[in-house]
Parts: sequence; structure tokens; C-alpha cells
Amino acid sequence: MNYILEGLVQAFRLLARGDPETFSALEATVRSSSLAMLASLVLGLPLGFVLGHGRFRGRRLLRTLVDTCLALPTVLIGLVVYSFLSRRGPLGDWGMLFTLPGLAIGQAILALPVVMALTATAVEGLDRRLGLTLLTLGASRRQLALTTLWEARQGLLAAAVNAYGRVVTEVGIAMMVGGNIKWHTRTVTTAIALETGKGEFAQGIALGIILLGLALLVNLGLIRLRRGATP
Amino acid sequence: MSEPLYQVRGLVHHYGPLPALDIPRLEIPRGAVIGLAGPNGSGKSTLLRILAFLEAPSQGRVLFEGAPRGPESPDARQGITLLLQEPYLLKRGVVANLAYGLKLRGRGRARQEQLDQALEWVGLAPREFGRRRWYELSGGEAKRVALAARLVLKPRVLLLDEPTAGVDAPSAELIRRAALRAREQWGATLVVASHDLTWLGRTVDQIWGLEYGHLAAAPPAPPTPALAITPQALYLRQPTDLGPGRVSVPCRVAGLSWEPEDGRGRVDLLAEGRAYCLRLPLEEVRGLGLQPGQQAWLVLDERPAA
Repeated sequence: MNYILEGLVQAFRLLARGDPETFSALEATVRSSSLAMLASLVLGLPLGFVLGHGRFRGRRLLRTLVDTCLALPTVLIGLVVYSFLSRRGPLGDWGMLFTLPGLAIGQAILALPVVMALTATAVEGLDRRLGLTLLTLGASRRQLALTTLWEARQGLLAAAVNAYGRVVTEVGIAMMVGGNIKWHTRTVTTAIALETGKGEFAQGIALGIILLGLALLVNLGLIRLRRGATP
Repeated sequence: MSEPLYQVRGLVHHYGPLPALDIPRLEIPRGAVIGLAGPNGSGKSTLLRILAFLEAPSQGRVLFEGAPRGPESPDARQGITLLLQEPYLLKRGVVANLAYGLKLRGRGRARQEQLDQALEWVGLAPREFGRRRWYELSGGEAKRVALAARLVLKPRVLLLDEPTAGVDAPSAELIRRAALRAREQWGATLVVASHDLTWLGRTVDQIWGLEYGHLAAAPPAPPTPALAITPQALYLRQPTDLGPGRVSVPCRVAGLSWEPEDGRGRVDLLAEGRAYCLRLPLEEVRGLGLQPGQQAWLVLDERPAA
């Protein structure tokens, strides 16, 4: 069990000496997850708002489907995205298989239901008087949506943090769509899988700790946003 | 201008199978201050929401300045504002709450004096309250902040739903003065729903009663000059022992109002097409517990000529 402690030491050593392989994997992780988060937030926040605020036929059914997609297995997403992006697939011409943007597509699909479901929940949980109040102050539809999302910012932050957590730690899509290509699409998680396969447990744990450190940095960055949103 | 600000025609509004509101005809003149009284569920809030164009009536038309409007007319809604019974403050500071409506109207950054002035109108010291967060206010303070957030917009129509519910007497007085300022300073039209008839009587020009969605006492006032009666002539239950030569006549409470010149309350009654009025100190009017539209009885010496 020594490798756990060793892994901790190794993590600091890798970071301290600026190990190029580690930093390459870290960079791939940050890039693909940032792209995926950007896409899922741009799509997921408005869709989640409509899902939580709108009153239309089939809303409940849609809500159930989105909630079900929270359980989408990453390997299934990986498989589907792979089949679409592979040379013989319908999007084969894009040449995105085994690239970071291709990987980000898969991760965005993973994150989208999380952002949508949690945004919808946050919007549903708002005071019913909010919408009426905004209308009485003269808000247009667009202003109503924007202010409603801002009032729910605490919940939206939770949605983003959750989605980010899934994206940054998943390995199925990164392995299948990214391809774990060294210096290119090898992310921290696929690197851990590789090290485990090689029996280099300490190295794998070191990478795991580095990944957690990344998550810590992201959450520290969000503290400022969190402040002022709660009593 | 002679054209009324609001013209309501054939208004029927349903929530379930029964109409929550049924008002064949209603007109609200510009600059009027109208009170709405009536029991819970009588349709006061619904009427206010319809007048604010937040809800479209199931049937009928509501004309504002001669034109029909709907929930999709932000231009009308920007001139009309409604203070909800339990106002909601945005999760921001007091100043940001006041500035929000101005920002919606694209009036850029609200001038500090404007916001301070609105706070002073509702009796909140800008220095002390301007910096507070939305959760650092008592119920009465939150209500006044919400009112200030509407006054700062200088609305042409100010609709108030139970502005004094759960508010102490000094706050109620501040709310009354702040609301009336809207008419004095920029000629706003006010419609105020309240259960506090004493307060309402001191605030508004006319009180209209609502019962089961019907306007029990819509203007114009009774056609004939009202006959003054004494409190002894008014019975809330049907009298049995009348004495010789006297008759009892069923009547309806047509309106409650306040006469500014002598500070007394006035109860208008309609019985068999004749108008009666009873003048009493305000507290006594309140003590009677009358609601507009309510049934009562008059005991008279002789049956009035038709």
C-alpha cells in the first residue's frame, strides 16, 4: 500500500519539475473539458430554463428523458460519437476522430443533461412571485429569462460544477473518441488508465491527485461567484 | 381628457368552471384613486392582475387609453405597475432592487438622487437602508422597498394589492402618503385593494366592493340625492320587532368613503332604488364591519315612495 504515499510524493515531484508528459495530459484535459463546458452551458442554460420555466405539452416527459440521460454511460456516448466521427461515419469528413474538439463533442453530450436538469430544477425552485414581479416592473421575455437565470445563479453554479466534475473525470469518451494519443489526446484520466495497465500504480495515483488539484483550483475560482448569492 | 384611462367591457375570467370575475362594464378615469374591497377570493387580485395586463381575461376586452392590450404589450406594462400582496425582492441589495426597473427601461444608470428620493418617500433613510441586502429587511421594510421600486419608475398606473397587510400603523401611513404622492406629483391613477377599510377610506376617492367576482358598487353614484339616516335605522340582521307604523326595507351597502372636509366616514346604501347615506366617525364605520355589497336592513317610519 506504499504506492499511495509514493503517489502523493510523486505528484508533487511531477509538478515541481514540470514533467512534460504530465503537463501535456493536463493541458489536453483542460482544453477538452473547457470546450465541452462552454458548449454545454451555451446550450444547456437556455434549454434548462425553458424546461424549468416553460409550460408546454410534453414538458414532464421531456423532463423525465433529460433526467434519464443523467445516467448516460460514457462508453455509450463514446461509442456513438466514435461511430459518427469515424471515417465511414456520417460526420467522417470532418476528420475529428482522435482530436480534442472531437473528444469535447462527446464530453459536451455527457454534460448537457446535467446542466439542463439542474438548471431546470433551480428555475423550478424559484419563488413563483419572481416572474410576476419582473413582469410588473416591465420586463420583456428576454429580460425575464436573463433575470430569472441570475436569481437562480446559485443553482446554476451547482449545475456547472457537477457537469464539470463528470467531464473532467470521465475516461470512456476520452479513450474511445480521443484515442489516448501521447502528446495529443492523452488526458489525465486516460493516462491513469494506461499507468494502471502498466502496473505503475504510484504514477497513476500521482496523476489522480493532480486531477483533483485541478478541480480544487476551478472551485476556488468559483468562490467569488458564490459569494453574494446567499444570505 | 375625457376618455377614461381604462374601459372594461364584458369581462369574464375563469380559473375553474365558475367565473372568478364577471364585470360587464367598468371605467376608470385618469388620475382617479379607487379602492377595491371585498372578502378573500372575491376577485380583487385577479382584477388587479388583469388591469396590469399580466393575465388576459377569458372573455371580454380591457382597453387602456382606448386600445386593447395584452400580456405581450410591454409598452403598456411599462406604464403600469402592480405591487403584489407579498412583494418579492430580487436577491440583490436594496439599491439594485430600486434600479432594476429603470435598467429594464434602458434609462442607463439610475441617478443616485432618484433612488434616494424614492427611499425617502417610503420613509426609509437612504444612508441606512441603501446598503442593505434583500434579507436584511423586516416584512414592512421589504414592502416599502418594493413600493419605492415602483414609485421610482413614475408609473402612470399604480396598482396596489393589499399594501398594508401585515404592516404596522405607522408603516401603513407611510405607504398611504407615498402612494398618494404618485397622483400629486405626476398624476398617476391608483387602484388599491385592501381589507383595511379605514385605511382605504382615508386613501381613496371611491371604494368599489367586489363579491364573488361581481362589482357590487360600481360608479356612477346613485341617481337621486341620498337621504341622510341615523345609525339607529341601520340593521345588519333582519329586524323582527319594529314597533307600530314602521317598516323594514332590505338594502345593500353601495359604498364606503371618507369625507375629507370633516374627516368622517360615509356609508352609502341602496334600498328599492333610493339612496341613503350614513355619516359616522371613521372608527364607528369600521366598527360596523360593513363590506360593500353586503345586505342590510333599514327601518323607516314609512315605506318610501317608489
